[in-house]
Amino acid sequence: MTDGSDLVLERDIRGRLVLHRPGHPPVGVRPARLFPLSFPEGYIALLDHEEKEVAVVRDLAELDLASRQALLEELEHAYLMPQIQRIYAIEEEFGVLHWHVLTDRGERHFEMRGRDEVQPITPDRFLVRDIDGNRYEIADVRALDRWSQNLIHTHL
Amino acid sequence: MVEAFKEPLPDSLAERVPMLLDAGEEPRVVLSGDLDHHGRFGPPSWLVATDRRILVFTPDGKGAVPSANGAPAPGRWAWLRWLEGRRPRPPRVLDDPAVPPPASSYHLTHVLLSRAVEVKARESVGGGAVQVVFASEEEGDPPQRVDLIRFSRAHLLRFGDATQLIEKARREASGQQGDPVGWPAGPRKRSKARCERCGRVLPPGSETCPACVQKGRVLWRLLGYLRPYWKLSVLSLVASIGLTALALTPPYLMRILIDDVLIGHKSVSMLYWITAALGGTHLVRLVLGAGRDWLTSWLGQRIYFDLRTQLYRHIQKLSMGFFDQKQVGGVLSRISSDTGTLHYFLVGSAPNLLIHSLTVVGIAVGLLLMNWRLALVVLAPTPLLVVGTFWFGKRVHVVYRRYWRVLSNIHSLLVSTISGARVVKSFGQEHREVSRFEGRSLEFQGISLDAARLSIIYYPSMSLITVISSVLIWLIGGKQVLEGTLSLGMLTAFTSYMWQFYAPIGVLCEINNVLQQAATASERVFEVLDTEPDIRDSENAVYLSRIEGRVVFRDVCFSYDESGALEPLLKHINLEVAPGEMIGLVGASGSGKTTLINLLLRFYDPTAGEITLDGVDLRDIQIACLREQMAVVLQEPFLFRGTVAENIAYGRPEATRDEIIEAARAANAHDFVMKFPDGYDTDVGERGGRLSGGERQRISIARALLNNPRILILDEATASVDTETEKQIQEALERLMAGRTVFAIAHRLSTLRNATRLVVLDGGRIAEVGTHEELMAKEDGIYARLVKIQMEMAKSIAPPEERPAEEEEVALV
Repeated sequence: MTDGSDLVLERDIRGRLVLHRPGHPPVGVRPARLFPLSFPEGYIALLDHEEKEVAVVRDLAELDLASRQALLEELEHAYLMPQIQRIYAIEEEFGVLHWHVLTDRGERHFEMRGRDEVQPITPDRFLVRDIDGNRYEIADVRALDRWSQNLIHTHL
Repeated sequence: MVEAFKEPLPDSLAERVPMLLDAGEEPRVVLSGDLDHHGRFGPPSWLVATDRRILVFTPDGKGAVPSANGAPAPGRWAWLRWLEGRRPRPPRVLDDPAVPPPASSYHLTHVLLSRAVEVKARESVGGGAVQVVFASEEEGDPPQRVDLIRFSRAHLLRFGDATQLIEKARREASGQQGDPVGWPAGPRKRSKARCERCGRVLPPGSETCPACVQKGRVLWRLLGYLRPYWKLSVLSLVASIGLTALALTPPYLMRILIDDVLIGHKSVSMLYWITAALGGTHLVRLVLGAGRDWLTSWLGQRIYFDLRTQLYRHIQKLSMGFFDQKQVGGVLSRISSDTGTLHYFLVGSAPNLLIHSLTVVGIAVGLLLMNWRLALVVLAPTPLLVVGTFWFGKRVHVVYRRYWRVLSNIHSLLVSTISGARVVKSFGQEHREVSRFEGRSLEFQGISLDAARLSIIYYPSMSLITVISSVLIWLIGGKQVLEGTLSLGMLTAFTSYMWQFYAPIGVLCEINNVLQQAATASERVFEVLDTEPDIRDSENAVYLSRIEGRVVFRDVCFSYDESGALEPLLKHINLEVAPGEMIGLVGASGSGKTTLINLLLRFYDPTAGEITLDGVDLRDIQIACLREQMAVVLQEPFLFRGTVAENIAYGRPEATRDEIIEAARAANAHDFVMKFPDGYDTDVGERGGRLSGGERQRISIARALLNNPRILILDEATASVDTETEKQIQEALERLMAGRTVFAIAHRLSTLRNATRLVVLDGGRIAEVGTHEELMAKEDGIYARLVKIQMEMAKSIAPPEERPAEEEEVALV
C-alpha cells in the first residue's frame, strides 16, 4: 500500500482521473471503495485499466484539496447512493412498500419488495434497496423529522 | 425498428429533434433517463440515436435541486395525512410511479457516430450511464470516455439493449469488423417484475399479482376440485345448516320452559318433555357435529391430496429453467406452504366461516322477529365491534411482525453461534456473543410487552361494548317484563342469543383476509399448474435410435436469466465435434464451461443459434432419446436415497444383477461395494451421505456405464478426491470413454491429457481450439499459461525424491 500523502490525483483534459506518484509514470485509475458503507471517506482503492490495485487512499483527508475534489467527483459517478432526508409517505400494499422521499438528489418515488430490503448498518443507520437495485441511505434516523421517524417505526 | 426503444418525446423536443437531423435520417432509439449529469433526480433527460448520431438532451435546470413539488410538508400537515388515512391508489404506470414533468429547456450534447470508436452501457453501483469512447489522439494514450446520459438502475437494462443497437449501427456504418458483442438485436423476453394489468410489483418468484387475482374466479376453480365429491359436499352443507339451527334451539327451549312450563301451565309432564327435548337437541348436535367435522376434514384432505399430487406431478415435468427462475426454495414453498394454506382454508376456515355466517344471520333474523326493540339494543354495538376489531388487527399486525422478526433474529443468532461454537471459543468471543444475545432478548422482551399491552387494552374494551349492551337489555327488557309487554322467558332467551351473536363477529371480520390468503395461495398453485414446460418435445420430434455422436454448435448465444444480463453468458460459440472425439473444456470458473454442457444436455435451449446432433437440431430430437444417449458424471455426484444397486440402475431400472455388477466392476466400484456388509443392498443414505466422495463418484460412473450412452459428459469428475482415488476413478473413466464422444471439464489439466482437442473458453467465448501441442506452441496463449502455472505448482508440492516422476506426469499433459 502506498502512503496517501504523496499521491496526486488530477483530471486530465480528456476527463480521465490520473494518478501521479513519485517514481512512477502517471496512470489512469478508477476508484473503488473498500468499505463503502462503514467508511466511505477512506480506504479507496485506485485500480488501473486492468483492474489491478495501484494504490489505496487511506483517508480522503490525506489528499491535497485538488486531488480530493477530483476523486470525489469520480466517486460520485461510480457510487450512486442518494441520502434520504425526509420521508413523505410509506404505503404498503400486498407486501410491497411504496416510498415517497426527498433525497439529497431530489424527490423520488420508489418501490421496495418487503422489509428485508432495509438493511440496518447501525441501529440508526439504514441502507434501503428498491426493486431495481437502487440504493438509498438513511444516515441517521434520529436526525430526521418526527413525521419521517414515525413512518419508519410504523413500517419497519 | 423495435418500438420498445422508442418513447414519446415531450412536445418541445419532438419539434426540435427533426431540425437537427439530415433529410431521411430517422431516430432509432428514443429513451429517457432519470438522472442529470450530476446524478440528481429531476425532469427526465433524453437520448435520441440515429444511424449517424446521438443527441442527448439534459434539462438545464441551472443546477437547482428540484423542489418537493406538491408533497405535503411533514410535521404541520401530518395530522391531516393521518386523517386521510389510506386513500385508494391510482393505477401505476409501468416504470416509475411518479415521473416528474418534462423540463422547459435542455442542454444538447451532439455526438457523431463516425467520431466514436465504441458506444456502450456502463454499470456502476446504484446506476449506470451510456458511455462513448473516442479514439485517442496520441499513440499509446488510453482512449477518452465520456458519459452521455446517466440513469438509475430502473433504466439499466433498457439502455443496455438500446446501446447495443446503437453500437451495431455504428459498426455497420464504419465497416468495422470484430467480435459481435452482446445479444442479437431486438429486445428480449424479460422475466416479469410487474403485473401487466395494473403495473404493481409482483411478489418475488411469482407472476401472480395479488391485486388482480380475481378472488371469485380463483376460489370457484378451487371449488371445482369438490366436483368428484359433490354428493358429500352437499351433505356437509346440509349438516352445517342443521347444526346452526340446533345451536339456536336451547335458548328457545329455555323460553318455553320458563314461560309455558314453569310460569304458565306448571305441568310436570311438560317439564319432562321439554327436558327430553333439550337433551335430545344436545345429543343430535354432538353426533351431527362429529359427523360433519369428519366429513369436512375428509373433503379438505381429499382436495389437498389431489392438488398436491397434481402439483408435484406437474413440477416434475417442468424444465430446468423453471427451477432456476423460482429457485428451489420457492418451489418447495409452493408444494408445502401454499398447499398448506389451502389445506387450512379448506379444512378449517371455510367451514367455520360458513357456520359463523349462518349463526349470525340466523340470530339477527330470529331476534328481530321476537322483539325488534330489544334486538336493536343487541345489534347496535356490532359496528363498534367491527371497527374495534379492525383497529386492533392493524396494530397487532405491526407489533407481531416485529415480534416475529426479532424472534427469528434470536433464532438465527442461536443457530450460528451454537453450530459455530468452535470458532466462538477458539477466538475467545463468548462474552461478545452473550451480550449480543442479551441485547436481542431485551428487544424481544420489549416487543412482547407491547403485544401484551395491546391485548390488555383490546379485550376489555371489546367486552365493555358488549357488557353495556347486556346491562341495557336488563334495564329495557326488565322494564318491559314489569310492564307485561315481554315475557320472562323471552328476556332470558334474548340474553343467551346475545352472547351467541357476539362471539362470531370477531372471526367474521377476518373473512376478507382469509379469502384473500386462500385466493392468493390457490392462484400461485394454479400458476404453476398452468406453466408449460419451456423445453418439451416439438410436434415432429424424432427418435434417433442410433446416435453417431457428431455435435455442432452454430453461433450459440445464451444467458440463464435473459432479463438480468447486459451481455450473454455464452457469446457466439461455433464448434464442430466428430463422433468419438474427446473434447477437453478449459477455462477459468465462470467462463461458461458448465453452461455449454447444460445446453448440450438440453436443460436449456440456446437463446440464439443452434446445436445439432448428427445434423438434427437438438430441439427436434425427443428429450427421452437425448437422456438415453447422454450421460453425465458430475463433480458432486447426486445419489438418491436407496440402495447401491438401485442407484446404479437409476437410468435403466430393468437392468439385471449381472449387468449391475459388470458396470460396477468397470467403474472400479465392485471392490468396495463387495466389502459392505450389505453389499449391493447397502442403503446409501440421504444424497448418498453414507459413502465417501470417491465411492459416490464411482457409483455414478457405474450408473453412466450401465446406460451405455453415445455422448459422455464429465464435469470435474475427479476434482474432489485424493490422488489415489483419482487414479482409480481415472481408470474407470477411461473405460467409460472408449468409443464415445466425450466432453470433459477439468481444472487439473493432466486429466485432459487424452483429449483429442482442447477448447479454451474465456469470458463466454471460445478463445483457443487445438491439441495440447498446438496450444502449447502459442507463446502467450491462455492454455500455455495455465499449463505453466500448474507445472510450477506441481513442482513445489512434490517431495524431492518423487520429483522426476511428477515431472513426467506433467509432461504428459
